Amino acid sequence: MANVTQLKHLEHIEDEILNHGSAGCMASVSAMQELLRMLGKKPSSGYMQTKWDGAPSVVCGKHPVNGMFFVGTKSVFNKTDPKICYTQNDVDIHYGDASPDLKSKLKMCIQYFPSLNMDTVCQGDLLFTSDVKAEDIEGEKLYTFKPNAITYAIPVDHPIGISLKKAKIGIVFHTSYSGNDVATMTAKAGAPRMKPTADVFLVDNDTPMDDISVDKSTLSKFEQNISQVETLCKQSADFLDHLVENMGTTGDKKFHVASYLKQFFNAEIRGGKSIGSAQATLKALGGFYHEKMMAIIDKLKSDKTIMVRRQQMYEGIQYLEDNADKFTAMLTLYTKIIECKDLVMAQLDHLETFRTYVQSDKGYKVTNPEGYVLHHNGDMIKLVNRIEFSYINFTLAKAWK
Amino acid sequence: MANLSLRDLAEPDRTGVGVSRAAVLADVIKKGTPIQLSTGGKAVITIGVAGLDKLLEEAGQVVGRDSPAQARLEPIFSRKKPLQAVKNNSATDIGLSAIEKTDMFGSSGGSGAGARETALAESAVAWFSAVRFKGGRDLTDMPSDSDFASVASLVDTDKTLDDIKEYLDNNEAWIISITKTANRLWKEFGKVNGFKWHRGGKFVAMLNDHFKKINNDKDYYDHPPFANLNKWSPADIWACECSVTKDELTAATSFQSYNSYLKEMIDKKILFGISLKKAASSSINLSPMNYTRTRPTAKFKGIWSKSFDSLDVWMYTSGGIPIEIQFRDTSGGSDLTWQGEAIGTAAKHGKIGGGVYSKIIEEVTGSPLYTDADFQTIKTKARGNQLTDDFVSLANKSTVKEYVSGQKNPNKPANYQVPDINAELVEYHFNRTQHKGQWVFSKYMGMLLIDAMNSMSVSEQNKVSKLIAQYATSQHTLSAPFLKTS
Repeated sequence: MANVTQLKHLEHIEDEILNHGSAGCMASVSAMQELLRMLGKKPSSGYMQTKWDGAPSVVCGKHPVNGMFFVGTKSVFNKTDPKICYTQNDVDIHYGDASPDLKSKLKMCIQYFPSLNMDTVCQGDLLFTSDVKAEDIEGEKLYTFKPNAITYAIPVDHPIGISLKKAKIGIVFHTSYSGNDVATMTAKAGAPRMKPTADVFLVDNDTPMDDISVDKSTLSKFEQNISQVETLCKQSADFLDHLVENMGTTGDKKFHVASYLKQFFNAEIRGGKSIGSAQATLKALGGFYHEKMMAIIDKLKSDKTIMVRRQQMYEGIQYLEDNADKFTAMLTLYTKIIECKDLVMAQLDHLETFRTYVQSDKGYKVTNPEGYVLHHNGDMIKLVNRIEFSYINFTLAKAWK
Repeated sequence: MANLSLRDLAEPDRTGVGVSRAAVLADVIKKGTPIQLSTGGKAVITIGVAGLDKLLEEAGQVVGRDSPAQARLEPIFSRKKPLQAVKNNSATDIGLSAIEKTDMFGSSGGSGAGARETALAESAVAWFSAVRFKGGRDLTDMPSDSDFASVASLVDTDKTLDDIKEYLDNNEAWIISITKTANRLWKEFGKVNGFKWHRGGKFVAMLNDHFKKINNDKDYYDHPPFANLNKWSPADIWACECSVTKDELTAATSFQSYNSYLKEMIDKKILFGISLKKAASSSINLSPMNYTRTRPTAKFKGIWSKSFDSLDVWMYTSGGIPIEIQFRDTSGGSDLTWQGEAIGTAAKHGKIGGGVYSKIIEEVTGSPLYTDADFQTIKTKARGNQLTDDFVSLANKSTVKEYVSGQKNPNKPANYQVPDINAELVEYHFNRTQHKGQWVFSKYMGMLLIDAMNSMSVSEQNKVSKLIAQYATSQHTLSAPFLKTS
């Protein structure tokens, strides 16, 4: 799983078998066992954060070398040309090519966040600046803000709504950093508690697990699913490791069918397709691989290289056929992990105070929070309903822009 | 202390951050390190012009103001204040001159500091030592005026006591170093009283005169073994128990006998010269140098240009005397002079004329690097833009090509473009410099050295390196015994 130095990209729990083979699979099992303990309110070392669909992501706080307050995007961590802003003028210098919206928001961070008296460096997602609206949704008066694809809403008379309306800027901090040099700081999940001010609205992103109530039959089903995943992990261990060994972005590995697996799943999700029957998915994988390889071959000029690539493609398809049973088992495992994830998320989605919507051509449509991040044994892994959010990101969000 | 200038940014960096000091400035901007302003106080420096941080990083990979990366800084810094000094999240536009030239920008002790500052600090050691040798206790701070007054007849320095005190008031770090040095000298020589302490002045002038007399004695030496007094003895101050007469001190007729006499004087604790260095650690070491006939040795490590565009060529030695020597025109272009500046792990050893290197090579291989006539011809051709053909021909020799093009530089930037060296490129470099011919002359001389070194046997390379390193660090077989603090 992602053991991060700086928070740049988190992995989906179901993809860990493709990232790390059998070890990734067992790590997923371990994460699910932790989730089982959390859902069953048993002693657990893990904790859960709700992902907020905020934007832009900002890094700010007390500079470890000079003690001054600074702001920037993740570019503050650049090894060369770090974009660290102490003043509003620094924003124009370092982010001159960025959108006016980003520059304006960073300048507001410089204006308002020093009042938080941050003692460390934190990363968070901006939720709103001057774009909070009062709207009627299904007959209810709500304050809404839409930092990215999801619209968040809170009743205007809710205590949170009242303080939100007064604030000039809202943010959810989710990560803190420690170290003596910005470029080499180490990330740690969660941010220290800060006292909100009248101008700064702070969202606590800890998932309220204390409020959870899961019935025994659900817990039992989840436990059975985990056992099945564990069994499948053991059965597919050698094959998963073999696949990971043959993945690559250079040399012959680049053309091995294993290197197309994550691409394939992403394309399926982007197309709004859930992973259904293993046999049908395997057939679709074969088609995907053939199509990608043909696109490569069509661009080639040298007959010799064309022959080599064609041979690799035939070998790849043959590999799929020869290992059909193993692929089927792997796909079954993949869908089983997704099933486990969906079961967990179904228990968490109703816990949040803020309502979540997506805008469609027929108005607001209720949706779930973007997802969750499990922190477990120093690792971080994300749980996201990828089909739903792919749809929001690639279809609804674009349609409304 | 002086203010930072563009010239400083083009000088070699000794802090290990980059190749030139532009890298040091880029690094403090990148890391947010507060630095000293010339107006007082510290501030975080940020860029006021987009992309300047990147330009500084690139310029930090080369030395010399004529290199393109350094040259790109010139219009930016000459027109406006392109930096910002940030204090408490409030910024003020500044230029380089608002930044103090502190240690990190090359203003540390030794030859890096200005000559006046060096003279003041060395003179201070003479005064402090006189006080320590007269008093009964180790010094812990600057002596009192009455302490100084009581040793006035025992000190002869070319800087006044008032100037020294004023300098130390503004450079407190030196006081600690100087008291430690005086205490350490007393520990070694304190049981003998009556020393008189000299920094400059008549006594040192007398030693210098006698050095010149021997150095230029054609009966003994075909050519002067040393280019200047420093390479014979780098002593900054001298302590003399004044029972010896001038006749005794100037009786020697060769360096062998002179050095032997000086060793005897040290053994008897009558006369000794000390090479000083600002103390970096809690204790001061006092080491006898050139005390025996055995000298540390050195091996040839390599020779190359860091970039083709720059004026210089660098030679490196390893082993007992690891140094790097920067060879380039040091006239600034108004006249043409080719020298090599040796830089050790802890100190610079000064510039040495190309003639010395030529003679060392002749001593080892039988052929000089160049004759006086060759040198004049190269200068004339360089000035008149007549050196291009010779340049291209030499640059493309197998012993030279990869070394002068920057290709062999192990620390070249990842995106460094190795140039194809042709007449057009040489003409371009000839025309781009204010003093026409400076670059072509400097680089051509460097190539002569590259060619010579790479055409030798390994044994010859090592012997040349050894002699150069020994000479540069004043450890030549004919150099005088002295004491070194570190």
